[in-house]
Amino acid sequence: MNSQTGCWAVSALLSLLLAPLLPGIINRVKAFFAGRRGPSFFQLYYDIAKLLKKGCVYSSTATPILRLAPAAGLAALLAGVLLMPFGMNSSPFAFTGDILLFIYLLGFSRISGVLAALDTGSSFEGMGASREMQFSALAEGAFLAVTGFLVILTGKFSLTETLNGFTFGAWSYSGTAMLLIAAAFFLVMLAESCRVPFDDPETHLELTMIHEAMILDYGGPDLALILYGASLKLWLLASFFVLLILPCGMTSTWLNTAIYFVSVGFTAVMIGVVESVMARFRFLKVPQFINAATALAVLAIIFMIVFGEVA
Amino acid sequence: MINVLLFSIFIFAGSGFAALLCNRHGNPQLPAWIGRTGALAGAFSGMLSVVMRFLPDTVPASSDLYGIYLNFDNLSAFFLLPVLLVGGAAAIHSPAYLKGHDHGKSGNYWFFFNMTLASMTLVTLVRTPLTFLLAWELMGTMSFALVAFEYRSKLTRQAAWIYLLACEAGALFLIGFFVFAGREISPAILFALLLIGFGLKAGLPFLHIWLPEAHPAAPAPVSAVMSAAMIKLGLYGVLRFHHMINIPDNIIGWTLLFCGLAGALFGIIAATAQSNLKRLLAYSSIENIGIICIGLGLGFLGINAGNSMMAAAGFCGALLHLLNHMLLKGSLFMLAGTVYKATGTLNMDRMGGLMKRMPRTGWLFAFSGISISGIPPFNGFLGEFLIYAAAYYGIISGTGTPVFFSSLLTMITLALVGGIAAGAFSKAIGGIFLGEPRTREAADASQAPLSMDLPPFIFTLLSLAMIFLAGNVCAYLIPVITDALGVRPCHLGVPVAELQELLYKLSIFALIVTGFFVLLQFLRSLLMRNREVTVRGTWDCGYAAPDARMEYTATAFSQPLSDFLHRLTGWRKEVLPPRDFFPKEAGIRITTADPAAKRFWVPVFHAFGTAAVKVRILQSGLLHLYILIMVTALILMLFWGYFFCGGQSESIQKTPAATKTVEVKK
Repeated sequence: MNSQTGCWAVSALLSLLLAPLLPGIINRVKAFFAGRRGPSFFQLYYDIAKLLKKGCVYSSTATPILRLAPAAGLAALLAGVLLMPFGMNSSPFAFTGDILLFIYLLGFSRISGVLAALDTGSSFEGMGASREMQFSALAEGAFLAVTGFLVILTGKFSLTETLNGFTFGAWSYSGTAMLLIAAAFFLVMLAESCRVPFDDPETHLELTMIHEAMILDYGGPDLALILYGASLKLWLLASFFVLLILPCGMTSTWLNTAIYFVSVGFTAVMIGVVESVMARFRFLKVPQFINAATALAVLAIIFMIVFGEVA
Repeated sequence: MINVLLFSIFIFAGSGFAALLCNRHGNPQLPAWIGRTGALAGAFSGMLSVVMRFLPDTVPASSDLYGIYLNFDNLSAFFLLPVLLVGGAAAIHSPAYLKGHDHGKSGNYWFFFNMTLASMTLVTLVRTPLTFLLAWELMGTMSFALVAFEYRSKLTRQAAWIYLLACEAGALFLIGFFVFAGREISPAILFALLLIGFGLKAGLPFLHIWLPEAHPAAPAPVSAVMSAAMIKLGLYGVLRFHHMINIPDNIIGWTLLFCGLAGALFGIIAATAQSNLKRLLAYSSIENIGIICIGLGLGFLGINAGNSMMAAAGFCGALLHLLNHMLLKGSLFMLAGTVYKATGTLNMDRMGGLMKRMPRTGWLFAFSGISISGIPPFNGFLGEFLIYAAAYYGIISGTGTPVFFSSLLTMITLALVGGIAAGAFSKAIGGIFLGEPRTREAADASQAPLSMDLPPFIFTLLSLAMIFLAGNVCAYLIPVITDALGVRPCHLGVPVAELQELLYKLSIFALIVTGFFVLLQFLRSLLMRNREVTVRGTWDCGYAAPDARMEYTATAFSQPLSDFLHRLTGWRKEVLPPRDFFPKEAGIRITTADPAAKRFWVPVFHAFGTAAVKVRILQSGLLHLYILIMVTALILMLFWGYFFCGGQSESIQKTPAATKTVEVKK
């Protein structure tokens, strides 16, 4: 138990440090597909370091909300970090129902961003905020459907106990359901972290962006907080994805942890591949796609009930 | 205890009449002063007895007042709490709101306001069908007068008319229920009567149409009382009187659950589409009543299945959410009134930038708005959390059973509702308070008097306290649930203690989030020391002269979702394009007609109207015809009495026997 907690703490700290690496990996993969060399893996670290040294420019329209939102959003994500069983080690903060707290903390971080975007009165930021709210409302339903699946699979209701609560057996007796749920959550992850095909963080037109459009008026340390927060959110979602797929199998906690970190990196590669081979959807198509994720999750639940052995 | 309550009813009614009498005499301040003092004094003395009720070692108080049987148990006390708390707060908020609205006749307002409070208090106390119906009807008519307070506007008159219809229809169903309860009538029909009768007040889906009409029309403090206290009395009625019929728990559970799911989802989707602030809040009330019903439904299902964890989580979640909704929605409606007084409109598209002009109101609204969308560190999340927990206990209780499936459905629906609610309220906060003002009225708005912001401030403090005390509050909910369940065996002590643990964990996490926030903000301010901070115009992607008209409006913000779900929102866009070579005017009009009203109620009432016109032939003005009709009716009644009375006499004998057995049970 003690070594588990220690292992969790180390992995959590490592995750906090490594989170900005994920966008770097994704961008390198995309560059590889495009036949370019691409920016450094550590580009986001450089960006954040540079931004932290700068001053700020605020909109004259804005109220203190614009200044408070980045810290509030990141604080919610950091609280979420405490619940995630990093490296397949039990989080010492886990309690029944914390999975809800986790999902809703992501919601808190989102709504603080949305309010800040509306605070500037910019039409582009309003547009981004509006789309973010629409898509995430639907994505939340899909996320809870995935949660429902996990509850059925493990009979537990905390992140630690659900994500670590099943063995390799789950894949053997209900492999189809596991595959479907993995697909469903992959879509949720892409939607929540604003990646292609839902949002393109690298488009050159503000009209077509969601997340990037919302932070147009930020600069300096505030932008650094937001960029770090976005990468941390991606890391959290990628961790959820990895733990959803991989049962807590090895006997050695350190080996588990190592597998976890490699898998998170591999997830980033997967996201990069998806972004390279796909274009962003039309905005009108996006809600249908998120609903498809919900449908997949529900289908997985049905498969689980009909064919699987349930805990 | 009950004497204290009778005393506060007396103060309410007495000060109401006194205010009305003072209306005639010169000083317009006097009735307002009498009315407000009376409402506050009554609310305060009532609160004392509510608090005493929840102290340990108190026995249910009952009294026989001139043959009227009064009883004050924990269920009554729980539902009396919103009435008194929001009633008192609205009384503080009212005078500033009424300034310029009451045409020097504030006595009228205070009479009806205090009488509404008195009748609501009475509703929670009386038990016998006849007195209950009288109190209920008094509540309906008095609040009708309040809705119709600004009767000079045609829209208000129409809204008040719809409200009165809903009240009377509800009362009709309730009369049916009380008349037939205890007779040989299928319990299903009785339960339907009960649910429709009280559901019309509570705003269950499909029966909700009066809420989005009456709330915008009524003065803001009245909307606050109606939304935060009165509609909940509908649920009180269901919990109180379902004992009178012999109906299995699972039927109650299923019905409440599905009404709740439909209401929550429909309410919040419709709320998102509104551009009128108080309509948005009214639909959000429908959503929250839905969430409360989901909790109650899961609770009843848990009782039925013998799953005490599920029952405890469902009931505690529902009641906790009821308290949170009271605090937040009471506050939001009063703030909406403040905004209305400052800008003269309720259309969110014509506001904007009010945060800078009225920061107190803005921050209070932002807090309540975020909290009511069920966002974690705040109190709106706690009740929903317990209801999710109830769904979890339902899921693990057994795979493949109906409870399992509905719990799963609850989980997904609640998630959707939460997500959409966040959208609806960020729309409201953003549209009203953020950005640049879109009209001159909004630009000229200024800080409201302190008395308008004080009640929401108190409610906000209570909400913050609720984050940390929710666990303790849960312990006090046990006797309330026991009273609601009556004779059913339920052992909620241990499960509630377990739920308390979870709520304490949530409180700790609220502290953790706050801690991280303070830390980050501190680091940020360290970094920003001696840095250059510039304030410039919003960067609108290189556009040099951004204008408030370019901003995203509240309607634009919610357009994707309301358009995507236009069947539920009734969202319709009419574009008047510019015509000819020299176009004079162009425009766009967006309407959100309530689908239930448009597709069902309007045609139904139309049909009634047409039928009524046909019947008008009878009203010919010929005396002979009238006499003929009366004689025919008399003869028909004679026949009816002669042929069908055989069954009647038996049932007359039966009724006292039935009441006797009930008394024996007590």
